[in-house]
Amino acid sequence: MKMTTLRYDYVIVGSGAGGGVLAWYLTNAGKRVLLLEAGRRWQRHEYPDNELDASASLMWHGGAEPTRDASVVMLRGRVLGGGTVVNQALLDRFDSLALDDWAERSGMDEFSVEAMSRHYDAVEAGLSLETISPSHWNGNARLYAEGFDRLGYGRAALRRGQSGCNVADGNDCMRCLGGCPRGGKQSMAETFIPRAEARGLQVQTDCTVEGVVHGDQGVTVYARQHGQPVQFYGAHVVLAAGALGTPRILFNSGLAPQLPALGQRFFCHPQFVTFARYDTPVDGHRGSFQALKSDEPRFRAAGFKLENVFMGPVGAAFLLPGVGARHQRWMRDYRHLACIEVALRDRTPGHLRYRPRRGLVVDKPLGREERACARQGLGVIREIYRATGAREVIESPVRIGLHLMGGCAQGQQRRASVVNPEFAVHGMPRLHVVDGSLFPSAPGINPSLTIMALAHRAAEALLGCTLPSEMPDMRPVTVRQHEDIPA
Amino acid sequence: MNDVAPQTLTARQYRAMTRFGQALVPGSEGMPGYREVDAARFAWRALAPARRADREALLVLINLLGVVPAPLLRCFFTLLALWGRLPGWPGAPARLLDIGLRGLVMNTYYAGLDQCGPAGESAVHRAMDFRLQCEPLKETTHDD
Repeated sequence: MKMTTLRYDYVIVGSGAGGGVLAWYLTNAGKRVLLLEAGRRWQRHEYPDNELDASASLMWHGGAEPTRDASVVMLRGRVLGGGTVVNQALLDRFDSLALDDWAERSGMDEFSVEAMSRHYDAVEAGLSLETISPSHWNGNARLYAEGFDRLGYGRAALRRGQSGCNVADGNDCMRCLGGCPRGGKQSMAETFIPRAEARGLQVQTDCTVEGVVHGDQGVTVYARQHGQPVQFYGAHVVLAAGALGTPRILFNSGLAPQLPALGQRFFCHPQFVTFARYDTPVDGHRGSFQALKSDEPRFRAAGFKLENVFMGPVGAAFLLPGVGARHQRWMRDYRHLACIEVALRDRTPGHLRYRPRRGLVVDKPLGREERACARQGLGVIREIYRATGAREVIESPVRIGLHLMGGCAQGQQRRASVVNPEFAVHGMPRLHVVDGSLFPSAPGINPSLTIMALAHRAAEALLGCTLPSEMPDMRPVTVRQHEDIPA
Repeated sequence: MNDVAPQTLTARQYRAMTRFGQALVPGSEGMPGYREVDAARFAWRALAPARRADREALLVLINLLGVVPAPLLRCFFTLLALWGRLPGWPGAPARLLDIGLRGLVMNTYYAGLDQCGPAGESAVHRAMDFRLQCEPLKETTHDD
């Protein structure tokens, strides 16, 4: 076994929205920090240029991971930068509906729009956030807007973490779902991690953590790197490996008996995708990607939103039903397809269990309430497609879960939570959790920005101080347009 | 079509994958068939990162299904789709089979890795008139 004698102030496990942001704040405060990532580091020009290799190289287990009854297929990033490299870069704040529910479930006043705004402000200062103007909408967005407007439903621009996409010159942003080759997507690999490395952050990639042992003086991390067992030591260890990764490490460390809520209340915003075929090309894959969101109080109250998504040929072929000539006709007409999905704010909690030989088992049933909610959303999508002249409407039989949340809920009570308000695992003051597994319930809003804001709050809790509202080295990473680049 | 079986799948697995893929993606209305673009040669690339037990189970199934006549296979997938609509446990095996088997075929065929087009481009993507453009950047900078 490779023994690392160096002792760090903090060892962070996972480099996504939680780990990446936290690494910056701790390193910037002068702490000796090690960041561990199971995936590899990619230079932006190396990201795969096709869906097969992107799934195989950037996702856990090569892509689709089904829940136990295969009712939902999950995807999660395994790359330096974690999910922020492969997500859709949608960075909206949570509303009072989501945060008030968290406050009630956790007993924590920190979960409110007012209390969180300072943390949102802080991380947003380090990101380039853009909305897409109507002149840059692609065909899928234009149909979405037309349908919403004709039927009187509210819609709004999505706020995206991006810079210099330069779609006017013909760039297609859907490419960035497999890693952004321009470096414009505001992933951790382009923003907080490089900043932290400039301040001394050490990063070890291809390193899969298997377990931790908590002691009086620190925490030992047991991992495998390039197939070899390795150990790291930290005065504190922060698990930021996501809603499947962090519970897996805690289960595998034998901590389940001490943590009755471990693995409970798992959520994933199940997504129901529906396509429509039009007589003229839609070209949902071209130009700006996912410009709009539903902003309709009736949808929010019912527990769903409609997303203006699209995907590459592999994704579309997987989601379209059936096989054979009919399926291939739909794929031949790929440019004529539009796509909208219902994303549910799931209320029936799933739960995670650990089997030493099988690993993590995810039970995520779709309850009666979710199915009714999905039917309502799918009905609205059919209305939209009908109102915009679709030739054919095609519902996907596959449910996707991209927002993996919960399993290590934060809260006051040990029986109902795993992590205390100071971000320490109950009864283990040197072991912390900072990722989406902290969520006490499903917010119904893309989680990435809130995970970053929680990382800012966690940094203050760990450092025992209020961080300054402005940091000179936190300027957003932006991308120069071609015309600005000197020859 | 490439007659040489790739090193990563056995020759038998490769033949079975080709037959199986061809049944699901027969080629029609301007789209090439699975065999025509030799998409089975990419199967290992897709399977390599999967859990070993999942990968082995999938390859056993493909070996078995690779000898079933194409019309029967398509009927099998139609039944699988109906069975998979059952919520919860009753439909679970059908959904798992669909995700694994159909997912592998679609991934290898539609990724555009074949270079079977007239100019060495993907014949599949050419038939779909699909292309993505994203010009890499030379430089990233901080706002002043």
